[in-house]
Amino acid sequence: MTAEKAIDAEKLNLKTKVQKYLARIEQKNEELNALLDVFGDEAIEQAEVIEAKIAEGKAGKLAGYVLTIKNNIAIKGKPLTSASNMLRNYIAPYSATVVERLLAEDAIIIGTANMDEFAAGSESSTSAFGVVSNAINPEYVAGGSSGGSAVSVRAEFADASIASDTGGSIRCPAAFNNVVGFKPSYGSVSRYGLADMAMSLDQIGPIARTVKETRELYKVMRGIDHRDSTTTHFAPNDDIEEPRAAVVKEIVEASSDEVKEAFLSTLKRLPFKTEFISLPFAKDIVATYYLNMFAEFSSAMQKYDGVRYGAVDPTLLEGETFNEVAKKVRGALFGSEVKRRILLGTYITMKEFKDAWYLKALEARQHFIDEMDKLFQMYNTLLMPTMPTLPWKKGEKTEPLQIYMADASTALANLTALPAGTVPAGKPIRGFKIGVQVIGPYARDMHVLSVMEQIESVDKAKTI
Amino acid sequence: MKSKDEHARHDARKALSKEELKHIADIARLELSEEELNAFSSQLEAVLEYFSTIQKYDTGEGSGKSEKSFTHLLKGEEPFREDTPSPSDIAELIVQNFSKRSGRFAKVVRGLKK
Repeated sequence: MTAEKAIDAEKLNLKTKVQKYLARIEQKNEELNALLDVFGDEAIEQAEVIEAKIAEGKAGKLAGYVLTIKNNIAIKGKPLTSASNMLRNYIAPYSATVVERLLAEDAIIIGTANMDEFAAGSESSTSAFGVVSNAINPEYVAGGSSGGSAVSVRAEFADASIASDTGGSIRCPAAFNNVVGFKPSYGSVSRYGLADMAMSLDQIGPIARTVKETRELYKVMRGIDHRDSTTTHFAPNDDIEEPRAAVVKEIVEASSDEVKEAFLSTLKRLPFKTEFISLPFAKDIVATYYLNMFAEFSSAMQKYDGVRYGAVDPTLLEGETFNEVAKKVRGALFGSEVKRRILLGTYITMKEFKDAWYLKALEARQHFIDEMDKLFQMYNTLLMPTMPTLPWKKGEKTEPLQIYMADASTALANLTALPAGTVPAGKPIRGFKIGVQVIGPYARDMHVLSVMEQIESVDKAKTI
Repeated sequence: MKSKDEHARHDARKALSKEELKHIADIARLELSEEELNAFSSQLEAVLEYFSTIQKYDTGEGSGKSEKSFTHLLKGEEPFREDTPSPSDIAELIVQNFSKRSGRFAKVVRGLKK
């Protein structure tokens, strides 16, 4: 049976499918630590409701889908922790627009996914609720920051997950767990109800086991929402063209030998031609991304002072002045990586240093945008390895900078607002395939998904 | 004479003495332990040292790699919406999340010392 037919057959018995996922969660979640909350009873109840709708022919477009939601996306009445002690007791007062849209089309939410604290990480190791393990081999990192999301999809806790991507947070863990991940064009999906990390970079997108499912979810998620002004002028171009594909030489060369080899052999098998091009600025992607993000992140974190977002330990709230209390609360409840990023963001935007750091980072960002505009006048597809290396063992990287380097290819799409996705490809090495990243012109999300599907079918033809 | 870039790099290192880090933490409203101060000062220095490659992008006029600095990601008209009041049923849910409350207000300690 094809995967497609399997999904259709499962739709007819949705309750059994939900029970199967719940049994998998029961069996594996303790080891993988992918989910923070599981809504078992509600999911079964919903499955019964939607089964009845299917029988009556009244079901929505996503009837049959069982989802996990990254825990920085609001579901009304459920904990919204962003995997931080700061929000440990916070209950979302409303649902994110994407959640409303998915539920309106009869998707079922089975649980919330673990992540790096406030999405600050590329391993899913900074969560206040413990490290997430890779679903292929639990000795390895899950990737991040949406590690719980990607692991929940790969480990078959759900059909798909909805996550956020600020510099690669969907694509990194999707690549590391050999599933499909998609970061839409900035402005195509509403972020209303997303706990922001860096507002000019954040985007919500899906993670699934196939490109087809990824596309179906994306189509429901996207669209104008007056509660997120970035969506109000988004005009998608859904034309699908033959790929005119460029491969970024600098990013391929900076990858590990095994990633390079798997990537090049995948290129050879593609049904379209690819051309190597040089993007000299590629080596500055990590620095430009992190400096832009630090500045916005430190500002986004300012609202967390122990007053409004969930009760904190009352002894932390004792003190003489408001700032004294805030310092104590933030010192006690933020984890180390969040603190490092707040410090760096504060530093580079200080009056004395902003010329040397933040303004330079803004200029570099504009340079990237200009260069990508030029590039997409000649090509409509950009290909590169999603991650410079395969997953590494948990605890192997101890210096923050080593981990930051993992975003060298993914962050480009966030800095430039472009749609980007990852699909697994090649022969497994130590159990892991590489991820191939596809980036396309702005608002050409459907084109990117179609190229991803071509890579996926080449890869499937090889492995089956 | 030192170039602007050399100044920036010099400043980066200088700012990461423990004293300077304490000052930044104060502005950022973060209480840090002695242990954190020690660990962060070398980690942050390594990060900034590596990121100093950014300083070749010139924010001055003329010789920059880009004609202008980044301001907006999306072009188009200002996306302001109509500001029309409508009833909301979530006020109580918002208030329930406060650490300390008095009716529908959050209770906080005073802003300035007595």
